[in-house]
Amino acid sequence: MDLDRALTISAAGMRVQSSRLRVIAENIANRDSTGNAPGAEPYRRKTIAFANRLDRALGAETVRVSRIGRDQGELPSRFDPSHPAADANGYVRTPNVDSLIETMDMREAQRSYNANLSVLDITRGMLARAIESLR
Amino acid sequence: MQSARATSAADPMVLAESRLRWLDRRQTVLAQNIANADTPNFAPRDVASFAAVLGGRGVEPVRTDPRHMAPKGGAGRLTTDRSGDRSPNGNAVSIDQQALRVAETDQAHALALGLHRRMLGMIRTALGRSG
Repeated sequence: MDLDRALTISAAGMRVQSSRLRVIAENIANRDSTGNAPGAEPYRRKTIAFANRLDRALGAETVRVSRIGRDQGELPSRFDPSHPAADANGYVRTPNVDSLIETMDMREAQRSYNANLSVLDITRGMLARAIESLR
Repeated sequence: MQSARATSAADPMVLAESRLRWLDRRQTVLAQNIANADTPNFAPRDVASFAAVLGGRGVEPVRTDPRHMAPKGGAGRLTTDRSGDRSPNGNAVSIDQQALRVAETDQAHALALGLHRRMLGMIRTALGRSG
């Protein structure tokens, strides 16, 4: 039945948004994770991408996480000669996590999660009404 | 006479049933649009309007074999809406617009189901049973 599919699709939408929130939490938690040897690579920001794929068992397309990658952008450096990861000139490379970007991303994830939840609620209401008509 | 009653598209019961089927399908498509609100290059879809689905019932080739193709313009046809604004990642879903359509579908579902129940009630009354 189509309404059951709608429920599964909305649930898949909520699942990918929570994976996105998990990645954001990881990025924010690691915003100060530098290497511990001179020239070592610090934490690189993780990125997440979604794709709409056909679920054969369900017979409909559901959204899934297609790839979790690393942001290959430039790493900022900070002057701190006493740091264990400082290079010969005294600079330490720090993670390319921008808390403003992560916060905005978090807001968007929350908004999308709520939208999926509302659709789920309404679909459930429609199903309940249909079942009610059997009485 | 009886068979004509069961197949006539103008029969309120048949009409309510096909309307409900169309609404179920639309809800699935809208759920898909909202679930893909952050998928790159995704354009929102919608089902062909109910009037078009009903109108398409005029002349239809008879399907004598399950492998025959379904006639065009049936309940299964989807349209892709590329008119809206696109975000930098190519996504064209507007959550507020989709939410509005979901609310619309919900209301129409309540109405169609109400009509169906009322018709059942009338049949029950005609049979002399209460409720």
